[in-house]
Amino acid sequence: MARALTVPIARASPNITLIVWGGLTLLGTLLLSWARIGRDLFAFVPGSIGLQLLRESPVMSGITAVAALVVLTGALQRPESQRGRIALWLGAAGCALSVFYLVSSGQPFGPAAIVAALGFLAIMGTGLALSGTLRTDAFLATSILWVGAFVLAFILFPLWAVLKASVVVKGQLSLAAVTSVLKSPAFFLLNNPASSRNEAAIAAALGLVTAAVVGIVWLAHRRGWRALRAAAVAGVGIWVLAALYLGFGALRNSVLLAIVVGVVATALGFVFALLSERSNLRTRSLLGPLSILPIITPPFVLGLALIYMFGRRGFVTNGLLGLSTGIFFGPLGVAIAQILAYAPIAYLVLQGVVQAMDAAMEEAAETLGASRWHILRTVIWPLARPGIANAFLLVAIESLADFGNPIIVGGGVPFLATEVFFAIIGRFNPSEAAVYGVVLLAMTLSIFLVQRYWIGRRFYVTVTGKPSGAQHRPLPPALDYAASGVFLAWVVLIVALYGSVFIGSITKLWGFDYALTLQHIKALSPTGWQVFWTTARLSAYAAIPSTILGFLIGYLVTRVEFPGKSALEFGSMLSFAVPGTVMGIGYILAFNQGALLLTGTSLILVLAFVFRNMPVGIRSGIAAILQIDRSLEEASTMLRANSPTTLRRIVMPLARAALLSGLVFAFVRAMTAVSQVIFLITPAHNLATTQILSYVEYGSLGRGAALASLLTLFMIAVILALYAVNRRFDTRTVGKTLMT
Amino acid sequence: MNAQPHVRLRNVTKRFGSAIAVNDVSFDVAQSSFTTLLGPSGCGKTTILRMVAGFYRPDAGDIFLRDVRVTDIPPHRRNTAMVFQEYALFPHMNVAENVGYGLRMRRVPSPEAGPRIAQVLELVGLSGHELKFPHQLSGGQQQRVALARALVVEPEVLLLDEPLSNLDAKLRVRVRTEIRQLQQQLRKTALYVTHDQEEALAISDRIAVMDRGRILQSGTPLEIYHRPANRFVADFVGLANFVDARVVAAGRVEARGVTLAITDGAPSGPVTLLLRPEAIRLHRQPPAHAANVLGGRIAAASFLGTLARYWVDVNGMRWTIDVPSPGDQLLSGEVFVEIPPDRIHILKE
Ligand SMILES: Nc1ncnc2c1ncn2[C@@H]1O[C@H](COP(=O)(O)OP(=O)(O)OP(=O)(O)O)[C@@H](O)[C@H]1O
Ligand SMILES: [Mg+2]
Repeated sequence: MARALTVPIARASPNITLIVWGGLTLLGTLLLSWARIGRDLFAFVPGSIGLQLLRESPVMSGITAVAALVVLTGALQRPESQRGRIALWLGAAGCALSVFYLVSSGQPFGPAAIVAALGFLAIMGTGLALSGTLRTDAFLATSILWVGAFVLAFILFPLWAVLKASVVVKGQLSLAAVTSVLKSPAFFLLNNPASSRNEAAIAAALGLVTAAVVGIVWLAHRRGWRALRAAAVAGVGIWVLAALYLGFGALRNSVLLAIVVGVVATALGFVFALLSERSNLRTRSLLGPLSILPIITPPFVLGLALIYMFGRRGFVTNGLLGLSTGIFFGPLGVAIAQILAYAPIAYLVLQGVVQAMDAAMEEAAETLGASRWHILRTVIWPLARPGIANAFLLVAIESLADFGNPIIVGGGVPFLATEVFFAIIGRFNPSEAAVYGVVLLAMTLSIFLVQRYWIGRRFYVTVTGKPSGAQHRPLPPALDYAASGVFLAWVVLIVALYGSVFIGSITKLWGFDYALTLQHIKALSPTGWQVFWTTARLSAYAAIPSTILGFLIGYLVTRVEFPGKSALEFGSMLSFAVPGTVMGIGYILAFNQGALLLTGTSLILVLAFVFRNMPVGIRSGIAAILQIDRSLEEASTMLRANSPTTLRRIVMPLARAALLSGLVFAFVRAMTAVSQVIFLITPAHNLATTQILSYVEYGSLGRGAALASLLTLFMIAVILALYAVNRRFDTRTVGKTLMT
Repeated sequence: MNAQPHVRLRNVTKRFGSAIAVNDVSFDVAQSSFTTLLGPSGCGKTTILRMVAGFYRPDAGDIFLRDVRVTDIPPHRRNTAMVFQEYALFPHMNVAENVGYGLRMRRVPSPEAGPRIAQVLELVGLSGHELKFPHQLSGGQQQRVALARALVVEPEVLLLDEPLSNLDAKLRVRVRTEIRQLQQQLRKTALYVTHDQEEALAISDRIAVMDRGRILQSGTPLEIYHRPANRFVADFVGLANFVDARVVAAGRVEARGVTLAITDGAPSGPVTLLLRPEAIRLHRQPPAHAANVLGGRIAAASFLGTLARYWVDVNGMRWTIDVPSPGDQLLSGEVFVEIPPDRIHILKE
């Protein structure tokens, strides 16, 4: 036992990592195609491999020379830090040369370009680690560079393209598009010349009156600046709300919709959260399964169902009440569909908040002599407030970004998300679309920033702290029954709506002939089925990288220190806040020509899915990693495991459940995505959701319902499978991990 | 023992943001010695240990293993092994897999690894538990697996960060003795962190007492206890009575109007006297032929089994005094307090 191992410190043997990456890059550059014809990434393009290009292109000779030098650097006996610096510069030079070659050739990139980009970045990463510039190892440094490059290329670059398109018209910097949209009555019109009222004056007057009243009331209570501030806030608030209410146009419709849906869905979500944590009634057991349904189906399925139940020939409106009303086509229908669809999101946010509110605190308040009402006002409400704001903002973002419901039940009323679409598809005006996109983006992004930096911090404070084990107090019975009643009403609506879609898919002609038939399901073949399987296949392809990337980013931001970390985190979470339609036009604007041409390929769909759903992976990854005691990884490192080994043997097995649910949710979100892919699909690569929309648009409601039912059932099956598998993981290993 | 220190820290400083966790620390760990970092919570012990392990890089200063500067070497290329406070056993691996992990990472072939795992498990008294998972073991057993996992890779230096703090009091005493015996048997160099002064005294060859990122004193347990360098060390290690006094002549100090004989030498002027509770004797009757006898009154008493602890008011001060092997009756009321001159220690500050 006493035999001591000698430490291999600062040994200058060849560096395998550099040799391998240099070699791979060299081989890929020389033997794979740099260009691509058409859609197939892997088709061999004669005359475009590095070997053939060497003679005509000095840049290509430079690229291969750099790669060869990297191999040499790895093989030579040099001190590690010196070798690192050389590798860093060689990698940077290789990247620069490759980009230069691609830009100057102007042809769509081929596989050699991918190998070169990844290879040179890996060489730079290895250099950063060896030279000690980054205090991590080659694997993590490379991951940082790769992830950074992906975020740059597939999140920030498309957003940049949208921004650019909004101010560059026909190659000229110009605000023409911006002003024409902002002035257009379809965007926002306050003072309607056709009406006798002066809406602008009314709104301003309302604002002034409110400011005066609030100011006086506040001054009466306490003097000073706070009164002035309260008056200003209230006045401006009322003025804006009045202007929105009285005005017209897409901006007004979208914002009002977001506010109404946000308020109602959050209220519902809070009621559900109270029920799930504190109800004595059996109804609460329905919460889990029914609240997950709207989350795993495309939101517009509810819009479709609204047509069935409340449309012109709707089962309730026409069949039962004998009305023929279009009242549900328009903002009202959109609002109802969104409220039903997004209440579960608010519920999931608020459930955590209600759960985290420590019962011991309430008990403490009670022993201090506070009444029930007092406890609600002084303990529960202040603690729940940040969570409620959070839920409201999340729902508002979803509502602003929703595309499917406004298209299906919007009745032609303009909304921001649909205007983006019509500007491109109907009016062929990318600049106009970009301006709408920027407006939408500005709104969701500011909400995202508020949510993240202002509320996010307060939110954190309330959910930390050890649970005391005290039991939550049950709701007072009256409140319990009232809340359960609200919940049951929601349940009945949801069941009826989803049910109508299922039944709609097997009835002959809804509203006219309710005879059962299999004709719609039969009519799905071949197109419907084919589209369905394409969607499943592409979603599966996308789910794996989005989970792995998300997990890796989660690991990097929680466990590794490096410059630019918060930028990486922000950039990668950004795509949560970007409405799908905006990301969609970003992709067509960014990847439409030159070296980066990707439109028309299935790759661009997969990429859109990956970077759209990566935040799901990041969140579940971070949650799982935070549960793993850091000392486990340190113990592994001490025992000589390098970081990929530690990830593979320690972190990933312990985070398996989270990884799996991240994978499944990424898959589900890809399968149900609409807005970000609606611009990217081609007849060759149509997707289930967009196919449903086009069935509905062309009047085959039955076929739409059949495909929607198929999608819903498939999603339910996938989620059930996840639960079945994860429960076993939970009890065996994960539970134990969570305890240490 | 080798003359060259095994671990050397030279002027090491570590900051977290603007706060200094470790402030210009230099100290040595001798070959095959058991050295303990002792100090209150937050004083920077763990930070030093983690710098030796390589998890943190010092902001200034250097760390050497023998004569190799390891300041810039990452943890997995140093030949140190660490036992973590929470053990950090891999919950998804059984005992044998946990212990074998380091061997596997060193690509030790399994015919060789098997016997080594068995041997080290036997050493820590866990033979037969190979196939159990960490959650099937008691706290003490988990602790021993963690130790075995660190030992099996034959590290040059064994680092232990409060490894006993999750054990109950009795077990803590037993396991610490086992750790000490193992260390002596294997002649391993060990650097140990604790905030428990009794533990530090019991098992260390040398102790470095820390406060607020600095090492205040380092020495053998006996030196630290009997010759503390300052008031903080005296107070942190063991119980202490402090008396403000003046040296009035060679061998004489005056405290609150009472003159005491001392053997410690000190220049005249104000000083602080350190009286350990067990250095003071209590008598019912005034003892004959004794120096430094004062009258006192017992204010409170507490029976601790092997000793009785009294709080005695003496000349306007309250002293803690321990009396070994108390009989059937505790003392009370008026007493006489005797302080042998050679048990009075002068703190030079
Ligand atoms: N990763 C860190 N980031 C910021 N501050 C830290 C970090 N680690 C330690 N500190 C700070 O450095 C100081 C020393 O911490 P350290 O963990 O070394 O103390 P310790 O002596 O081990 O205490 P304990 O006995 O409580 O474990 C503390 O004030 C602590 O808050
Ligand atoms: Mg510590």
